Amino acid sequence: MKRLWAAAAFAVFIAISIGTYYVQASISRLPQFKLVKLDGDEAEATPLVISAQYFQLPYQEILSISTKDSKYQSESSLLERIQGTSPYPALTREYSNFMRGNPYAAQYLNDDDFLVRAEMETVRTNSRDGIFRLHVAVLDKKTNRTHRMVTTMPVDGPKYNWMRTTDVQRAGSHLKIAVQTNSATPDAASKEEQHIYDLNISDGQITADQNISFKPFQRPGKMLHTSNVYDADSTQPDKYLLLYVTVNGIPRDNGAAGGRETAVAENTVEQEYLMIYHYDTGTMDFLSWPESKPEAGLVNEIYQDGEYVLWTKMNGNEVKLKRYRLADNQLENELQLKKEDFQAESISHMQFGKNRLYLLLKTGEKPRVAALDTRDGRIVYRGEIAAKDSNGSGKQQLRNLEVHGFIVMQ
Amino acid sequence: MNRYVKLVLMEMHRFWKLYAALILVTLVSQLGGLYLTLRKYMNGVNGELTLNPQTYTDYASRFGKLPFEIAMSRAALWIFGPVVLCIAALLLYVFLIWYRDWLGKNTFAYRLLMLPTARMNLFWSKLTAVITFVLGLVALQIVLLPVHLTLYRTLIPAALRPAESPLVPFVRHDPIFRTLVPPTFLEFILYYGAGVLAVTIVFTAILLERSFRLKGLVGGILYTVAAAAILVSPIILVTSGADSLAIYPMELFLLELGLGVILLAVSLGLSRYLMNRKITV
Amino acid sequence: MIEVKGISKKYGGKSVLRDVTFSAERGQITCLIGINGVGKSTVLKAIMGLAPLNGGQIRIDGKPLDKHLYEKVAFVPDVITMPASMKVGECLDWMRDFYRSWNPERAAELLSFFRLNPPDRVSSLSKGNASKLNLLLGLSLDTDYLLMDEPFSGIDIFSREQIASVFTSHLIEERGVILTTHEISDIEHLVDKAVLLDQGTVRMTFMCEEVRMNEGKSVLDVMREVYRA
Repeated sequence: MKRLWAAAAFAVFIAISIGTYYVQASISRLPQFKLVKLDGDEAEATPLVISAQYFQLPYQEILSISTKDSKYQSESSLLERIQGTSPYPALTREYSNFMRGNPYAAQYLNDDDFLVRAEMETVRTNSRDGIFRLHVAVLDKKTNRTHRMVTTMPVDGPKYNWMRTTDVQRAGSHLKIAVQTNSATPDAASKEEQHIYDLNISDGQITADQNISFKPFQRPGKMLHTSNVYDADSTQPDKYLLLYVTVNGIPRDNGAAGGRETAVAENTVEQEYLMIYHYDTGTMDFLSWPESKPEAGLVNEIYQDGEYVLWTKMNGNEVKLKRYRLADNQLENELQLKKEDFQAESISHMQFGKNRLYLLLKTGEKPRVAALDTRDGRIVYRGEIAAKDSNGSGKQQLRNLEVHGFIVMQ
Repeated sequence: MNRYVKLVLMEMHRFWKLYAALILVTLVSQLGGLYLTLRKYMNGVNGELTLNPQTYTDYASRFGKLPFEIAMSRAALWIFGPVVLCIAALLLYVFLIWYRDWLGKNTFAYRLLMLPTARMNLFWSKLTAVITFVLGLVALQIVLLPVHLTLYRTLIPAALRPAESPLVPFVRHDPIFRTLVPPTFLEFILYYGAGVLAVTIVFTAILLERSFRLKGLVGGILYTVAAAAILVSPIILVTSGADSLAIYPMELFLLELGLGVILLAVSLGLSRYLMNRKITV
Repeated sequence: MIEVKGISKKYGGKSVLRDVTFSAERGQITCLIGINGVGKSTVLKAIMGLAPLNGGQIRIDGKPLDKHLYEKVAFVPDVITMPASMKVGECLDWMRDFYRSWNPERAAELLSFFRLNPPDRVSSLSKGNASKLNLLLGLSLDTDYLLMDEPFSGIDIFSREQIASVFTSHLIEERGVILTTHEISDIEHLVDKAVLLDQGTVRMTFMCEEVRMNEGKSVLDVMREVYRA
């Protein structure tokens, strides 16, 4: 009997101590913040998620703040961490079977009739004999059946170090797949290429391969670098493929790195262009910026918003924005915003949405957010981050908060 | 009191002396080690104060403060040494809890196998005992943390201590404590549940050996390896994925959970079969 | 009645028991006789579910062995079965804790009869005393059947007489007893039925009293005939 009491007491001790710990752990002690509206339409701020760090010495807690609440990384539940986030939450919800696989490795097209996925798999790569496989999956929304095709690349001809899909569009029963490549030639200048492959959906055969020529930009002794233009809604059908092209000076090898080729990041950007490829005609236009030489200290952002492209330059004090129509390369409107327009100490970050420019502002203690309509420069929302603790400790909490960026959820 | 409970009490009673020793070592090493570490620090501080008279606050602004986490990491060997010892001892006892019934001339296994009770109760009682021993040490560690904090607050003057360091963030951020005491209760159940599965698999392997001796030893090792392979295989398949094999992380998690449950059921069923029909004294 | 029907057992590839059949009735003392290693212990262990069989059946009062029958059949093995660190008194407490059929008065009676001390640790007992403790633990259960494996092996002569006297006492009475031995001489006069095992099979089964009366032979005489044949 004595043994039973001792064992029972031990069991109770275990239950109480472990239970008490987890009860304590589940009561969040970390301060809560929220994005509150100062003026404008509250709905404008719904997709914004601000990432920040809260300093509760000696720990730094990573959190994200929205109009609803704050979520701390260290307080996230196991299931939340397992689930993770998808860059295409709506598509993943609706077509969960089709959307399997790594979403960051593929390009998607979501139109009224089909959902298409294009991914380039690297089978083998050494400097001369890269072999890749293009995986294309097409979901017919009417019949709900998926057609999968695999093509070994490159089809014939030159060899590549790497190939990766950058866009996929549809023209009737053909897919146009944009692929960026790095060719295995000794000539550094002609390394990067952009191909548009034409793929017949019914038989999976590649019927055409257009190698977009960058000859107009090439200069002797200079290196070309192309990259895609950010488009938040990359799954929507698009008539254009936008490429940001820079002409870089190739740094002379000064032997310091032991003869190794120095990193691309050390190249100096001498000129920049926006190249516009029209899928329907197969032709190219390009835009060069009025101030083609990038200015020191300004951050350059190019963003595609439907039928428009936005070119912005930003530093802490001002934002310059030019909005061009892609159909005819004409300037639609331009904006120039200064930090004083927002009564802010500085403009720290910038994000884009459909017809929207979002700014993260530093204003003394409370970080602020402003949303503008890019069509007319109208400020449609202003908000600030406030501590939920309305009493005195709220001010101290804000002082311990450091905001370092934000994203726009889809 | 039913026979299962009596067997559990018996198993716990058989180990209590060693268990008490483990608890004592933990207490002495953790509390003593932390005390020594804090004393050493204060000796250093006071030595400096003797050479250059100043207040603790001045000292802090020149040399910094001593946060609780730093104190604990300086005493790491004293704190985690006994943890390692306890883990090793319990791992060993997972085997000994069975083999001690067969060792030597006193084959207690005869008595146990002739008890007028379901033979699986022997299995359950040993499993219960092991789980209780493990959770007891976890509970002990949880209870010791506020004691450590109090010792720290007693020995280190306020000027040398940063503001409040509550214990829950400390546990959450310390890599070792976070493993012993996972951040959420759900994770606690999952990780220690996985531990129960592992012990069950080892018990099954032991029963294979006790039923078939040498052939059973080979069988037991193969069984353990196969179980581990089954559990690891989905993860390997996914990370080497061709895109059509890709499964969502949540699906992988549920798959692993399902596999774990199946393995548990198979192990328990096999153990029951071995205990009722194949085990030999 | 304990019925052993055609049981067989292999250790490794070797056949230890082949098609062994016999029965033991209540109120009778059945003795399994054979040389060392012939498989006598294995038969008892098989009846008690301590060693699996490769073939055959065992029935106790018509039922196969299950956990409840451990209250009806007691086994006294030839090894010490209590942990070395346990005290004699604790062993008795342990048995009482787990068995409904434990008879504390009989246990006390046997404790004083065998002159065992409760505070003694099992590890400190002589072989003779350890065997007596084993016997005590088996006899103190109110079971219908009692199985004993080599109850006299390695015991000094006085202890042997003590143990033998138990067989004629009320302690055995109505029970069915199966015992194994290779030294039949000590208990020949007690045994009702003899089962002779040789090379894993039953060579002969007979009622000792009948054979003595009808053929004038002792069990030893029959053994000589059978084993030399």
